[in-house]
Amino acid sequence: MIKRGITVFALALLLAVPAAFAADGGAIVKKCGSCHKLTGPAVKTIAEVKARKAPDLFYAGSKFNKDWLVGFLQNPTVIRPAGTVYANHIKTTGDTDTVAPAPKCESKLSAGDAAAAADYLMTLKDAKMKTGVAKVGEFSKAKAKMLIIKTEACNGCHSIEGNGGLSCPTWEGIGKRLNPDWVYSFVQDPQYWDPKVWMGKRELDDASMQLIVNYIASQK
Amino acid sequence: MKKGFLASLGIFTLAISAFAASPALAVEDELGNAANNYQLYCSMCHGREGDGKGQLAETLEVPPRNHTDGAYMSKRTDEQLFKTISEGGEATGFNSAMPSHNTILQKEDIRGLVKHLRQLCNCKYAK
Repeated sequence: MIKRGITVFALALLLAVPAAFAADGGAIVKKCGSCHKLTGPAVKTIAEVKARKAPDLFYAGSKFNKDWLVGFLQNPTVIRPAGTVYANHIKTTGDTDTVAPAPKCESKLSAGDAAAAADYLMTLKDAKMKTGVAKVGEFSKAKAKMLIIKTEACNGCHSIEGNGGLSCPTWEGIGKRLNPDWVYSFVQDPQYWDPKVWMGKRELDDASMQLIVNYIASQK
Repeated sequence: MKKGFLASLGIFTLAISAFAASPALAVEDELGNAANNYQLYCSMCHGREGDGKGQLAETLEVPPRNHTDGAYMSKRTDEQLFKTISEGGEATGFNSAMPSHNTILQKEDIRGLVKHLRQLCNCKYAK
């Protein structure tokens, strides 16, 4: 009887200890609030945009892929080469404009904390975003590049396959980073997510949107 | 004494209202906003100084317009400039790399940008 009691107690202890020491994702992410906006809505004035230190996270669960978040939180890299607000980082040097190096997020989390923070961030979803819209599969890369480079000139602002602008996030590894449904939604209406973002709304049909989404998803 | 204080308060309020409604100040505000908008939405291609030497200029197939070029800019009407900013390059026969801004900026913001362009080129439309 006593033996059984001890066994039950030991089992209960084994189950309780990890739960007691499990990281609180919400508390970890709360610390990110000194730079990132963790609650909506997005800012609506130029002054507020210029004061922005880091991208908004209040729809992180709609935007990001969880696996990427877990890795990034342990070892953050620079995604926006000219900083979150390009206009704050340019200066005229001699004959051309140059960009001061973007500050990197210095908060490196342990594997456990990163997993807990990612779990929490994935709960921050936009309820109105349509899911299942992006159809990722076979696509013509040549057609996609024609649209992306020649017609829409996305490389004017984004670095694509190592070449392009610096004022917007790099497309290096973007396929690992972003949820294709969010990409579809953002390209279709950037101002829905960020009313003052400098990416303009484009009138593209679904076939063109799928080409862009597929190309982005392939960049891993 | 109380009447004197109220009269002073009234004059002070009127003076503040007149200052706030001053057309000169309104124009200054509009151009100040326009300069900020220009830095945020235009400078990456057209350059911080508006000279077409933005950081992205070399990555684009068609060079961005030099807004300080008075000879060229004086050939464009304010309406043409407004439409290009609002609806994008293709709407006025230029390159699609110039995106539309009518979903980002209000009409008054775009009108402010047109005025800012006229400051950069130090020119008006000349037939």
